[in-house]
Amino acid sequence: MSGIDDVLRLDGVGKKFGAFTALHEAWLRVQPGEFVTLLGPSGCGKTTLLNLIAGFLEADAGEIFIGGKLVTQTPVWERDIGIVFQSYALFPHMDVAKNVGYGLRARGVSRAEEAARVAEALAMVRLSALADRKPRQLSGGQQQRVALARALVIRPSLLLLDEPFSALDRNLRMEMQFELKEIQLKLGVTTIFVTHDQGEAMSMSDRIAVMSEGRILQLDTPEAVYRRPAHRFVAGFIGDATVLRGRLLGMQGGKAGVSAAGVTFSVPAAPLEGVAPGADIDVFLRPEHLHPAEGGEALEGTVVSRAYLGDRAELLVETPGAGRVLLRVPGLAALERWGVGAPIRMGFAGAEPVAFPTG
Amino acid sequence: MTTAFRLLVVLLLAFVLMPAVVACIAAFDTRALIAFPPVGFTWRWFVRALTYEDFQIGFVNSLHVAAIASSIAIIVGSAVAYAIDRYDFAGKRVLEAILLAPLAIPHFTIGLGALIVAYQVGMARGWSVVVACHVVLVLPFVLRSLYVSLKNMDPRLEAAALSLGAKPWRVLLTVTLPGLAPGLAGGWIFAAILSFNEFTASLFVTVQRTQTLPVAMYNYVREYADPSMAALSALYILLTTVLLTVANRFLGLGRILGTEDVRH
Repeated sequence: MSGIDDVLRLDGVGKKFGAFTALHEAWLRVQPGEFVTLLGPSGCGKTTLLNLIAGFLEADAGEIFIGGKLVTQTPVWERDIGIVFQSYALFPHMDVAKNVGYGLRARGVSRAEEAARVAEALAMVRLSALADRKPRQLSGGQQQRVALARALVIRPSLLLLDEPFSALDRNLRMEMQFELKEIQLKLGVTTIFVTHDQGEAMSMSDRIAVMSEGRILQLDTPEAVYRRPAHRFVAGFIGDATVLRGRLLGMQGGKAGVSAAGVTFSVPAAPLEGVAPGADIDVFLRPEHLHPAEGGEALEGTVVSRAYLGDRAELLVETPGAGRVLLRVPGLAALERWGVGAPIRMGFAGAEPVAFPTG
Repeated sequence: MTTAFRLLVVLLLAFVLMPAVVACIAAFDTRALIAFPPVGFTWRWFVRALTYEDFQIGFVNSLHVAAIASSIAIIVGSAVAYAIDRYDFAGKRVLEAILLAPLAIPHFTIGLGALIVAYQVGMARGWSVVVACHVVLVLPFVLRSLYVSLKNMDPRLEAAALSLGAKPWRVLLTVTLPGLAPGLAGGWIFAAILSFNEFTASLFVTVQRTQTLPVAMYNYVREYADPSMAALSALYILLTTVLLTVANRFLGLGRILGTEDVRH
């Protein structure tokens, strides 16, 4: 990677609040047009990192580059960014067109150009008809789109999204996610998205930075963080998992053999580095790693709870050897065969679990 | 709502309104000595109240003092409220306590203190001591009104404006000040009404030339006992009510006084 085209580059950026380290040295390089998500629970440092990139906070350590320019000491208004906040932060005393044109007026763009670009931006978010409304006359989804138009009309190098969907209800949230992703792809604008919602992160991102306690634990594609989590926290935070206590049998090449609940699995060896053969480990199984099975190696148990979700159902199964296990089955089959109290055999054909040292 | 509770509310309202109602009714009495209940009806005392020279001068004086004192209080108050709300600095709590202190100090103490200081610097007979005294008295109310407006403003608005490339002075003029406008206007009107009605401290710091309307009224009562005073009181109440209604209509008193939360 040459690194010369990086739209955003963080070189060891850190931030302390008194004795509390909100962000340990963070390293990140974002390519043009990339959609990178900072994902983690509240207090993980993702908002601190966003505020450092935007310039609302000053870094204690490291350097920040936006569009190839060193901006560590640059004030917010010279950083060439667009931000959409969770609260939208529309100016209540200005109508929609004035809100969207604010950044253009601040840049001294001519009135004619402002009008043309505002019209174009409003058309992009399908709000042309509402240009003279005040923000309080708009629905949450409409306010969100105004905020997006206002951030994009200045053609920023970098678009920052601070939990923009949290205030919307579920259906609207899905719709806005698709719409935002479509606009982002069309404009090719490099985007940093902050969220605590793993579903949003998985569906929209090119890469996800999973954060916990002020550190970026893993930075990779949605597929990789889901299928090959590098850290115990990542495996637990992204997707559902059943944790089985097991034992390390041995390592060879990049693979490790582990046994849990009387079954032998092959898992990536990297997370188990330094663990002695024979030591206890935890095996993380995804719901789709398990399926009802007639023969072969299997885990036997009894259904203790069933959540019917239409196309599928989630079964919580009590097993004598491995405690409670979550598995996902087709909805109709669950209704027909696996009520509460029904016995079930679960096989592991095609499973690719991961294992970590015991937490 | 139970009958007992309703009765309590009615009694409470009667208690609050009674002095004003009695004064207003007494203003129309035909007798030259103020008394209740009235025995006739006349506008005479209203005419006298409006044409009496000391009242006319006092009214104009009061208008000037109220306008200047509340304007100064708004400018000082908004700077201080903004600093206290947005920044951390040494002595912040002390400054806040000092500026809110006039709420707890009797007006005559403030008036007496101002008079002594003004006498020392040879300004006891001027306007500045009257205005300065009123600024001190209304500042706590102005501060309170502006605090509420600042607290109700989403700090992300200023952040968003900065991120859009606006320099801080531009953000202040185009986002912060328009957002505070209702609080500024409401605070100003409150300060003006308080200043216009202020008597105790004014009694100490005014002289014949600078006397405000309440002081002129007091001087009148010492010599006459006719219902002109009651008539003037009625006019006072009318003017204040009109101002408050206008303020409430356009600004929302609940919002200014912080009895209503507008943050969503």
